[in-house]
Amino acid sequence: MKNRTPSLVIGGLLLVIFLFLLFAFQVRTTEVAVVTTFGSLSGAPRTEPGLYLRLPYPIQNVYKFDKRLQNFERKYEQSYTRDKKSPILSVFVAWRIADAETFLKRFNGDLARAESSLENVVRDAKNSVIGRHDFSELIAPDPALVKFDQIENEMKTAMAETTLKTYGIQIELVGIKQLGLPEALTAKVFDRMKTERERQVKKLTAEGTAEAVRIRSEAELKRDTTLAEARRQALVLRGEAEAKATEYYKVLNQDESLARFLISLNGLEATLKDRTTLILDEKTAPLNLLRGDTASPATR
Amino acid sequence: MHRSFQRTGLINWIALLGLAAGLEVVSRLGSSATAEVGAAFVLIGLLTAVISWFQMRLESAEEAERLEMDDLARSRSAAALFDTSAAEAFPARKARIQFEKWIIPALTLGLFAVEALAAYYFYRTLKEKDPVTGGSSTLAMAMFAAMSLVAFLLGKFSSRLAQLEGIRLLRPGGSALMLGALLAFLAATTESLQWFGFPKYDAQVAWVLTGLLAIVGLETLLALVFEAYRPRVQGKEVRLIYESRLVGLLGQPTGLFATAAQALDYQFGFRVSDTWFYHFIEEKIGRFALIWIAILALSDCFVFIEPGEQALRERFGRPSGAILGAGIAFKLPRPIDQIHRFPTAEVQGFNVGFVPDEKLEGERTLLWTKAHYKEEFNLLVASREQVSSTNVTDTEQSVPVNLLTVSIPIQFLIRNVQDWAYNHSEPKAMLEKIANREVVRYMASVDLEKVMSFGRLEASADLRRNIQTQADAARLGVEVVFVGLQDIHPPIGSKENQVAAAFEKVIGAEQDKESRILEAEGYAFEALPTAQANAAKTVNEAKAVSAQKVAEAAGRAAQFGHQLVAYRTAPSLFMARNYMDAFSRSAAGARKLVILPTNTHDVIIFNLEDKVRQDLLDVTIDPVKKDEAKK
Repeated sequence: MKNRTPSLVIGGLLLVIFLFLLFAFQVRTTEVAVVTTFGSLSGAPRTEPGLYLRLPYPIQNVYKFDKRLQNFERKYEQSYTRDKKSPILSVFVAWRIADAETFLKRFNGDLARAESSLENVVRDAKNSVIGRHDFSELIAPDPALVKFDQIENEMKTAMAETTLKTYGIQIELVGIKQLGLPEALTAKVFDRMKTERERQVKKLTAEGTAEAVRIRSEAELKRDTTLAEARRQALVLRGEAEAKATEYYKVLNQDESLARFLISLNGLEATLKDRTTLILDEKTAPLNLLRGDTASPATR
Repeated sequence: MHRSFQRTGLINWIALLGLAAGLEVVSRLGSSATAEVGAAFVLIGLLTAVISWFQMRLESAEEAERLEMDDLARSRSAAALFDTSAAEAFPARKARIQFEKWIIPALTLGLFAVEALAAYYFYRTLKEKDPVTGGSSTLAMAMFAAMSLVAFLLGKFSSRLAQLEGIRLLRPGGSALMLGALLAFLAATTESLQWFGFPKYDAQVAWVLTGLLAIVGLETLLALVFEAYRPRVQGKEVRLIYESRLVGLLGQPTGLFATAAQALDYQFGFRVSDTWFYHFIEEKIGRFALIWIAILALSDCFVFIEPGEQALRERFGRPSGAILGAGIAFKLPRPIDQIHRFPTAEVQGFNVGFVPDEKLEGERTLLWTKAHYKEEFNLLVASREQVSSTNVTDTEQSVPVNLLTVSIPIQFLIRNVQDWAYNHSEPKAMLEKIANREVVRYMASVDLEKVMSFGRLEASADLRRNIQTQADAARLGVEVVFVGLQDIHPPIGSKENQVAAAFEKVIGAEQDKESRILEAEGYAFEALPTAQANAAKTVNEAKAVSAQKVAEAAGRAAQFGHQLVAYRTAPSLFMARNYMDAFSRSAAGARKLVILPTNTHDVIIFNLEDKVRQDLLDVTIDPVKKDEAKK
């Protein structure tokens, strides 16, 4: 006869596992479990981690939920501010299951359904809160004017009551994740940014031209001043030279006729220097020699 | 054929119908892809079981007809009076032959079509399905196990009956049930694995089964083709072409053993299956399986934590002991203990403001005017410029903001593994959202020019600090190690309004401005030294002239003194000599016309025009020849 011990052991093991699966369940640190008996809630939710006993399906049913913070973000939606601006916002929400029984009743344990309901609440809170604020409280050059924290807290407060009482969901954190403008406005912003830059281009070009003109004119001023000063100095020098020369020429007074004669000679030499045609007759020395006149030219 | 066999065949296909429906329904409860493909296998098995059941009924009718005809022939005295053709005498036989000749190939072709379509359908479905989605259900596990048990008992009975009694037509249904049992067991196993935290095996098993489905389809097609060319031998049993041998082998592992043993016998030339070793293996296979299970359980008691990892141990879901570092760690087998490992030393990261594009990763030059990511998000930045654009007609909608393209890679480390594991369901996604929020918030009031240029480092440090503060407040258990402002620049803009290009024009204008100024400075640098040099020249020239004039005056005064002495000594001679010297020296180069007196009173006319150059007047021109003049 065959030895059936191994088969019995394997069968026994499988049976133990099967029974374990049917009669026990674990709750992790991160979970909360709700047990129902024939559809009715059975005891308080099991929030402490550990091993719990149960009756097999369909007598008892165990619903486990993640009790950690869930994060949720859905629509990037256009909104309307108090000062009639229409930014697009995306808001994220960090939430946790605070009341597992209520959560089970409302959504039958379906997380997708819960998030779908949560989305309605989030959108409502977001749009109503944004409507109470100016756009400048979202975007402003001065950080002190930006009221992100206040807006987010208002949204959280607006959601909290509904979600906790109705859904068993506690909102822990609300944050503005994205902030933008609709396409039409984006085009206008692009246009304005471009115009700003064009203005800067013109400003820079004008500044460059003006600065260049200033530098050139300053340089020309300095040049002309320098040259004028030089000319002044030259004239002074020439005058001084004239004065000194005149001092020397006083000696000519000793014999004025001789001085005149010598000056005339210098003048004659200067006059006859270039391209001169002389028409001379026999009376002009030394041509007077041609007619036999031997008188000194100076005597004539 | 005995009626009880027909009943068994009927039970088989009804059981298969139930099994297929059960697998399909429960697969939805437990999100089991294995069970879904298994349901398709069982459905195909159901078709073969139904065909074989009909064939069984026809053969049974034929046998009944044959017995009846035998009885009739024995009681007949004059056979000739009732002699009729074979076809008229055996209608059930004729029906069976026609069924085998026409209906079975047609049904087999249909079977092939179903198999091929099912394989294609699951190929498409599994390709689109996320391999790790879907939860586990203990109820589904239990139901799969129950279905497996029932199918196994029925299948084993049918297969054994078919083997002992030689009822080949019970074999397809039996094999299909055995395979159904195996598939239900596989579905229970993959469901358990999902429960233990290994969801990917379900999809992997489903892929293998889809491949097998395609192979079974191919086998059916080949069987159909080979049947057409098979030599027909009178009296030889016809093979069931719709019965898959692969299904038979998969459904009955013992059959697999027998087939393998036969192959070995044939290969080695002696009966390997009679050796003591073969018998030893066959007898101890159960113990081997037990040892294998024990080894598996033991291997589940040790976990190797890799360097750079930390792990959390949970016993029945409750944190047990300290945080485990790198090395070997002991645990009780699942489901008692579970280990969750986290790469705490690994730098993890995500991007804010852009989605990388693998195609553009290789780009070596990144320009503002050209997109360098798959998606770039524009962030709103407060405008400090109060410029009214002429194009913005709707003043209520003119928003004093700028748009900025920002791409910020953020890197972080897990610092507190318990916070990371136990506080958030998706901690990384949460950190990403917080980081996005901080970037949007920071940019809302930043100075565009500053953050694009010298304020980058400061912005990076501010953002890192802000994200860290918010992450700590959310108890994420991370340390933000790097926030890089790798791209901050104006958006590309639209075709009509190219913003980035406009920014580049500003830079160009700055260069142009500098160029103009430098040019003017160059002019100044040239003009001033030149003017100074000219001034010096003018002064020096004046000095030279003055010196010359003074010196000349001094010289002439000195000369006059000497000349006076000479003059007083011989005045007329002095004057004549000096006159002649001066006249001859100065008149040497002058043209001179000397007029001597004559006795007549002539009127002398002088042409004092400059004389034209002689050589030009002396040019001679050759006279024009007569022949040339005629032309």
